Amino acid sequence: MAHVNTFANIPINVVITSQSSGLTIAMTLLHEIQAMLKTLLDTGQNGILDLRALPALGEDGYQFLKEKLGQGEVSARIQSFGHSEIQETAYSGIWWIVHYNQDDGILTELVEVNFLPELLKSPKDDVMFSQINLSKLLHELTIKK
Amino acid sequence: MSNLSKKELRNCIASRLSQHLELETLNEISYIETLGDRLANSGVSRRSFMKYCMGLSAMMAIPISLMPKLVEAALLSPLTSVVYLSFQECTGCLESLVNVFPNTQFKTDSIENILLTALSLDYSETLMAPSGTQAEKSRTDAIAKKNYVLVVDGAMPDDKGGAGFFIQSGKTGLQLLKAAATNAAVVVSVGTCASFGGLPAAKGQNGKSPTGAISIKAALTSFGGIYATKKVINVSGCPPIAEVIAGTLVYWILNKKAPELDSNLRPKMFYGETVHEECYRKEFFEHGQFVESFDDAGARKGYCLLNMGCKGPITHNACTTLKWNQGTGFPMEAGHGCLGCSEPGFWDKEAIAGQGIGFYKPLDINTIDD
Repeated sequence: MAHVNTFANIPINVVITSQSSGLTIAMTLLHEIQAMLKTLLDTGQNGILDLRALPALGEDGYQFLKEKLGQGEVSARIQSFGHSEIQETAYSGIWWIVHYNQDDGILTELVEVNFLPELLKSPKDDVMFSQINLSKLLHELTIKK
Repeated sequence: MSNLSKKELRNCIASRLSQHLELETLNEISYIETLGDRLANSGVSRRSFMKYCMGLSAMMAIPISLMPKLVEAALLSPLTSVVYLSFQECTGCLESLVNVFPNTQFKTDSIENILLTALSLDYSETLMAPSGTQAEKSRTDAIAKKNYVLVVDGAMPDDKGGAGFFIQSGKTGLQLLKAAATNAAVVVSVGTCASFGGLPAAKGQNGKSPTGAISIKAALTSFGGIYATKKVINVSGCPPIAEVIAGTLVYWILNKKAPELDSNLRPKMFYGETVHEECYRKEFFEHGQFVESFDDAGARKGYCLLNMGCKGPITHNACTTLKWNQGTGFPMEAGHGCLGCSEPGFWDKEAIAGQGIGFYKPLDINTIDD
């Protein structure tokens, strides 16, 4: 009986000659992030990419970007009108930030290039209010004594 | 009280009313309250406000890198004063706006509450506490200031002849609008009635609107002078989506200028696309699969609702992207076509020549751009 080749026996090496547009955009974003890192080191100026403003990135481009940037050591959670997740990527200074609304729907998703994400820092005005409010508390506690 | 005679009771009521009329309105705060002060006093942290604005940046087409500086500038600015006037309307638009602030068992607070905090709503007949002479004083005081945002809902009865379709405190709607528009930095026409005339401008049996209703822009243009060139933003819809009203006002707070507008003076960021372009049923439209009657096999499969009179292809709005009721859904998701409520001529225009008007009369498929 003659041997009949099945498709599984035929050696086929699929060569991808063109990337999808999503992957192309993801590659462009990686270059842009690299430029932002240089700016951060040279001038201290941070940079932000809004991934929700890039619908052409697509699911494949999004996954590619997330996979390549990976996960780093620091993660933080902000509880403020719906929570926010902040994750350092495998590359120090590159942060992946997701803001959720109260229904746990994604409000916006960002990549921030900074020594520390702006949103994690306590704003100066809020610190000033803290100082006033803590003074009031201490005053009340002193009176109660 | 039950022991009082009727005469004593009348005297008691008269005395209380006279006391009420003598009550003075609150003295104006001597310092200028900034948005940052208001937020802090309301327990809204800077971080929360920043997060809210970051979330809006993509929708508003503001580069996200600019947002921190815009927010910082807005926090140091005085509160944006808003004067809200209502004419021929049903209060549905205001109902929509206040619905942006859900306060239910599960949502005791909302991120959009920030908007309410960020505005100084100095006059709104429906929402404010004062009445009578105090209310009149509130309006006079509010419009004596400068650079407030004048929000108007409802169409304007064009009763220059004195027909008396809209009279309030002895003044016609046109007189009230003119006085309120004089010092306004911008006029925001909320709803299709204010934007284009809407239902009050729909033609009656004699082919005319019973009250001769016109849009707010048309009324301002008829005044001439500074009124004709006054910046007007139309936020159309019956009612407009709550987040669209809120988004337009937040854009003004952050930028102190109007967003880019289309030919009908609507913000392009919300009205740039038709609801058909983003509709999840568009795939069926492209394959020629249509619902022919409600609850037929096609309806159950979610086919395109064009033949059921859907006006999506000619209607510019953000229903399919922002959705309604805190992002729950939009008409086509509920199995009903779009009524075209945010377009000029809503009620009268959606007609095929010779076939009359009607929400369930289909558009001519040959006139639809794919």
